[in-house]
Amino acid sequence: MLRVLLANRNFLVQMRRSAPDTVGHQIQVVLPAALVEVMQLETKIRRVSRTGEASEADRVTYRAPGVPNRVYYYRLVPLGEPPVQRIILLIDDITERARLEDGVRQAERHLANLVQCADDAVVALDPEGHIITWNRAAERFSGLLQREVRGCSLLSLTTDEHWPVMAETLKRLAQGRSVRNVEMNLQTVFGSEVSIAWNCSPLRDPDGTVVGIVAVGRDLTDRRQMEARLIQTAKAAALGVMAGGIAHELRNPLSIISASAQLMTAYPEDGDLRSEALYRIHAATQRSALIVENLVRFASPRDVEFRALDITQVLDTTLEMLMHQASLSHIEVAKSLMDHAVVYGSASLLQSVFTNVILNAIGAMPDGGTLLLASREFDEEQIEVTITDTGVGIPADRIPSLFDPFYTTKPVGEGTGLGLALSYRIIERHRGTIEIRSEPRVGTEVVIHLRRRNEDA
Amino acid sequence: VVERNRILIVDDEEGICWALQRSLQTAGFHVTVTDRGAKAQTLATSQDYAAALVDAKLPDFDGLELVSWLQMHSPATGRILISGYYYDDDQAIKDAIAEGSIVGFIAKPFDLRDTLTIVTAAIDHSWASAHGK
Repeated sequence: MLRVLLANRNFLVQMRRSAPDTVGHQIQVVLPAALVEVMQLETKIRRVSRTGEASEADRVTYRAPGVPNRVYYYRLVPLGEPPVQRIILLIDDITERARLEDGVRQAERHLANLVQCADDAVVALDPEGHIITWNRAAERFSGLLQREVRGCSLLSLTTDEHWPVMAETLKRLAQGRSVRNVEMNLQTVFGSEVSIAWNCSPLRDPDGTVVGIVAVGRDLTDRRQMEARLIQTAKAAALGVMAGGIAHELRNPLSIISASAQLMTAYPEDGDLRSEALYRIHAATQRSALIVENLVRFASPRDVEFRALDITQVLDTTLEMLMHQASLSHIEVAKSLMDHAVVYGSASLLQSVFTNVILNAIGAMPDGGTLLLASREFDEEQIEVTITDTGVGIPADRIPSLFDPFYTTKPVGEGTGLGLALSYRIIERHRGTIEIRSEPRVGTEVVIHLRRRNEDA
Repeated sequence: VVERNRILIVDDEEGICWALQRSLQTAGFHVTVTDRGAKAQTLATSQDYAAALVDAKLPDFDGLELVSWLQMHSPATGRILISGYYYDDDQAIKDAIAEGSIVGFIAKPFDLRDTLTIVTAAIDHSWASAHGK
């Protein structure tokens, strides 16, 4: 017999019963029969009675027809020694709380899904930079699964080259500072490396203490490949323009080599002639090799790695390659460059920009003129490079179109109209600026500003 | 009177001047070398040359302009353009030959024996034209 001896008010209210139709009645009548069954109340009561031990707290969902689900929390506590005659049933309707918990759990799952499905790597780190979570994009970029990297330092997955930058970044984050758009490559399980641009923020508790780090990384591979293709296209175009100059440049030393050999053949007995011819052959060969080397360096796809570099050196190298092109048009070249000027950027990308701008300047002076390359410290953050010609100039109404792709005033086959469009994009990627000022029949000035350090804009 | 063995070489490539001078001197020519168009004009003003070998791209001059100038001021000089820039089937070269501003073209790199043949032919041609033959 499972009879109710006593029921408190809360029980009566929750179960919508009165004391007279509860006290003294069978529990199977007081509580809905179906609920008694799912609670396994009779079995549990018998066990408590036999053992004298309270039952484990349990939770049950009760579905009554036509009524919303209710969730109950219940426990049986014995009064006295076994065989226990009196047992307290502690039961509480926790429907509302359960609903809130479900909501929270669903929101958590939803957020976790968002993080998991993001295209960008989303990584949670502890303040020392050890990995706590590693989403699917991070797994895809690196080929490393979350369970393989959990607890590892993000630093240990960074390439040797970017190790110092990562170490510095983690230090800044631990001090509570954010880091934006920093390129740090990771080593992949495939033995290669993946270029990633990171945005990282510290996570703080309500007191402001840094308790973790969130790092979001974007894979730059696709963008890189597209840029590399564009750069190759622009280089091919520049090479087309330069072809005549290169041919001329090579045929001179070739002529010297050929003529020297012919003279040696014609006068085999002349020792002085032989010495002189051999000396000239040697010198001309070295000169040819240098021309070829410069050409290959320019033409071959190279890394577009960003680092601190000496812009004066990049300008000198570019100019050296184009000197002959300039001399073909009787152009005088003047330089007013800083001895040593460090900017943060990619040497090969910047060389493409300077090559295009200088080739444009040379093209603007078919009857000769002066090409001036100048650099100066613009301010604390920027170096200014100015490339000036005394050429035909550009009418004011054409200046706004200059950076449009495929805009060209050159005859078909001589220009693709990609040079300046590409230059603009490259300078933009350096978070610098490029500006063109021109006056017809006076000349054109291209002003480029580059950042000295890799810091937030 | 044009001395039939005086030759002017105008090229800013010192090594090329050396090889041409060496080869032509051995063949019995008297050779003068200069590296600038303006200097060549000065030389041609004070001295008659049987032939002039002119590089197409000089630092201060376009070689085609220099041969035109020579055509005007020293018509008896056999004008030969020498170049690593043009090909002999380039329109600019065909035009120059048609207009008579050059009587010969040498592409770099060159065969010294061919060069000698072209120089001799140019001298004969110009000598004949200048003497109305």
